Amino acid sequence: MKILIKRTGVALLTIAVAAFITFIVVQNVPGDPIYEWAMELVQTSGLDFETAYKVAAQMYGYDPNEPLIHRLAVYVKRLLRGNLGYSMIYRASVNEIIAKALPWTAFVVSISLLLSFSLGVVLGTVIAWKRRSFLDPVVTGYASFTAATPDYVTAMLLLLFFAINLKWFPTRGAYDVGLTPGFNLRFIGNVLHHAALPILSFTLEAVGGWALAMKGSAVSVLGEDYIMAAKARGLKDRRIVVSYLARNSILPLITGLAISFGGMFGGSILIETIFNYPGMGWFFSQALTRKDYGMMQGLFLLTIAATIIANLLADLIYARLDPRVRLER
Amino acid sequence: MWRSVVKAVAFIGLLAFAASAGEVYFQGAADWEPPPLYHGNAFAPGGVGGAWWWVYEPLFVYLPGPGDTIPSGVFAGRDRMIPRLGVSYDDTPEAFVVHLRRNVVWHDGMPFTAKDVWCTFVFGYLKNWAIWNYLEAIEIPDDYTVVFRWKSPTPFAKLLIAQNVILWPYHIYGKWAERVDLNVPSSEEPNKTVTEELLNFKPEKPIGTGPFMLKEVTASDMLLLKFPDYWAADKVDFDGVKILRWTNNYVVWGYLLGGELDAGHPATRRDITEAILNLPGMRLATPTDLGGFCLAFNLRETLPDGEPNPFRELKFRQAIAYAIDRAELAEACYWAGLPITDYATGLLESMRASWGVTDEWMAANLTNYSYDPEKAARLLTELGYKKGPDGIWEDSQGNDLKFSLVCHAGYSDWVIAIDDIASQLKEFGIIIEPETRPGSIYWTSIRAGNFELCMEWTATSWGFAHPWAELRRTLHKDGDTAKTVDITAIDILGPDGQPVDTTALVDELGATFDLENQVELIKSLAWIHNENLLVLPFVEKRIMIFHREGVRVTGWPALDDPAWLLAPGGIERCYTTFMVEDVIEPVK
Repeated sequence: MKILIKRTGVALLTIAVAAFITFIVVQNVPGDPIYEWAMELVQTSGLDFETAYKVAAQMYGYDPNEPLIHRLAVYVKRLLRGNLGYSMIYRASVNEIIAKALPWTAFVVSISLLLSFSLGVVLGTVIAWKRRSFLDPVVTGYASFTAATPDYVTAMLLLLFFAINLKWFPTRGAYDVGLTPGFNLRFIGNVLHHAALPILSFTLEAVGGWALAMKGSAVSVLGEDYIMAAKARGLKDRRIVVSYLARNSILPLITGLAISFGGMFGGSILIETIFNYPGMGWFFSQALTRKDYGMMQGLFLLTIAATIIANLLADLIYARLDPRVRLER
Repeated sequence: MWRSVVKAVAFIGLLAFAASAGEVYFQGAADWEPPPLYHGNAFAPGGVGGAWWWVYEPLFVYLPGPGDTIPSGVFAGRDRMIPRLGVSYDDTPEAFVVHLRRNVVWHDGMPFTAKDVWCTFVFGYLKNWAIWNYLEAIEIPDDYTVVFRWKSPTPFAKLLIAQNVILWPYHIYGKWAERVDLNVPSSEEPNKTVTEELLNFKPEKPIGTGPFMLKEVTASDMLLLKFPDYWAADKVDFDGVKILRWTNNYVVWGYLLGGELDAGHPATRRDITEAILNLPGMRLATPTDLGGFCLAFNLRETLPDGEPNPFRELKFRQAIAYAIDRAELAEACYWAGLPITDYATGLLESMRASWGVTDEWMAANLTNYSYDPEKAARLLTELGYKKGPDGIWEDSQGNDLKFSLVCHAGYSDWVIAIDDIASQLKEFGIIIEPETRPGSIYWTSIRAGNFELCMEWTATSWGFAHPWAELRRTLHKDGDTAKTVDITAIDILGPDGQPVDTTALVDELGATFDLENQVELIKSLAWIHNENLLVLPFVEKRIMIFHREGVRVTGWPALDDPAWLLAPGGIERCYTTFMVEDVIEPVK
């Protein structure tokens, strides 16, 4: 229990330090949040740049001359109240934005993660067990290919092939416009239909990585005495693979999986943009493009906190799963 | 379970029946802030997005060009001020009187009156709308008359009136409009508080008087339905508008290739354009985007490093102009644009002829700067430069001619342009070091003179569509490009070889009502722009409007129809005007 409290305390401290560093970094990002909108006003309203800049500054209520310490105090005060921040561009609470966006990202990314992890583990185990089979170079090549290919390329290809050419899936969105969200078969079916390509993009991108990680882990387990002993005892291959090899090889991947779950809170900017999916990634891209400091800080902090917490959970779970590992004092 | 399945099948059948019953939606693409950021207040960022021209209307739609009458196309013979919420006007030097359309209602059923126009323009004061530079007061003598009283007579009255749409109904926003003080700046009280309150007002959906009402908005789609009480509902043959969200050009290319759009306007690569144009009925209109790109010379006394500035010498600038193949440059950086290859008038290439600056006039009166590296070499030699053994031009002290050329890092076409210019000038014998700067510091740095050569906008008439705005950009001391190059740092010479006050000439152009006088002034300023070569224009931006004829929509104007000039600054203004004026309709 003591260890748990200590670990939790360290995690909280890490989050606090991360929040502070995030604040400093974000506030010092080069650039000017008002600039883009000022240029837009110049091009649409015929205003000269100086006037447009003044108008934009007033609309955003942003004062670049406000002392950093004052901004930090406001930020900390809000954080202590559970408020992750306030979007200065949209004049909306970051919590409100996250509440709308996170469920969609969590839905797509968690399914993708589970799918890619499960597939990757199976493939990795198989190619470790049968190292000279045709599958080994195929999976390894595929993993190298997907690692070298940006996720948006996969997303774009899927969009072109399955949505635009074959028209099997919708090109965009989370569900059909005009459909009332609700817990009914029609809506759920529609949501799954829309999520299919984003899920496939995430899965295709991630599965190779998991497979290689699993292969690496399984190969080292293959050299263990208990595998040799199991073989000597004449156990069936299937039993050795499932009960001895896979079960022991999967342990190091647990941490990676937990961290990936934490990282999903950031969504995928590119995949969500291509499929017009209303997840966290889109809001991240908006915050970055428009230099919306409030939103950037909130979203960064959420992602960092989620990753740290996931890491902590992974440590705790790992200790439970593997009796050889004990939490250090 | 079976009951649910039967119900679902019946519902889908009903939908299919409804679809087959002839519901016709126009499909376009645009951007907006997805929920929860979307709200219906046009005053605050994130308010309306792509619904703008479908939901709101101006008093008049102005089709830019000289004279009062549209010369050709689907609106041939019509007044350039195409009526929408206004039905007629009286244009006098002191005031512009608009007579409003009666029996117009807002989407919430409330009647539209002059108070709504007043409310809108009062908020326009808070947002520094350009019209307030000219406006003394706005009066509403009765419910259907609005008087715009000018500070001094302006020939741009029509443009200014048509520039803005009527956004804020008095019955919703009047409580704030009544508190605005038109005698103090928007940054001072009470206007500051009113602005703040308005920015925080979020009514969910925009309320307009336009032909379509916003029904639903999601992160990917926007659905607008035809407003049954619209004043021209009988002319609008579409049941609604579906707008697909425009996250980036790649996605819109996909929509176009998938046949999902009736019209869309992404800037598109040549190969993708060809693929899109292979679709049945697909056409491409390319009206001007009311602006172009130019290479700007720093004309200040010294360059940023304190060295003497060779760009102050006209012949030196001319040599640079002759050394650059502008056709190649335009093709490389903006293939769909209109290349400017021979002259440098500071006017939009696509519209100059209609203002008297014809090819014949230019050939007879202006120096031609078409690509001629030998001429460039002669000019440099005359100035005392000579080519070194490495093929690079050197000054009299033996220093290589070497300059930096900066551009906005976020403008991919400019980045390509500076690389192309660097490559062309290197071949000629001048070393150019391309450099990009983040957008946030780019404009402030170049306006402060921190550059040697830079990329700039030229001939922009955003929001105005008149040569006055185009020429003001470079020849008026307050023009943005004029500030960049600093036109006050050199003597700008007129036809008599004497220094000329171009700011005064531009102001004169902006004050004269006489069309012939306007044309003469435009020609004079075009001459000055060309002969002094303060900047080197090389391409006019054009909007690429893909649209499908005869598939779901028919009646689109011909590709060279001036009606497409409604597009700059609001593509959907084109589409809505075509609908309201019965130009386009669904395929029967």
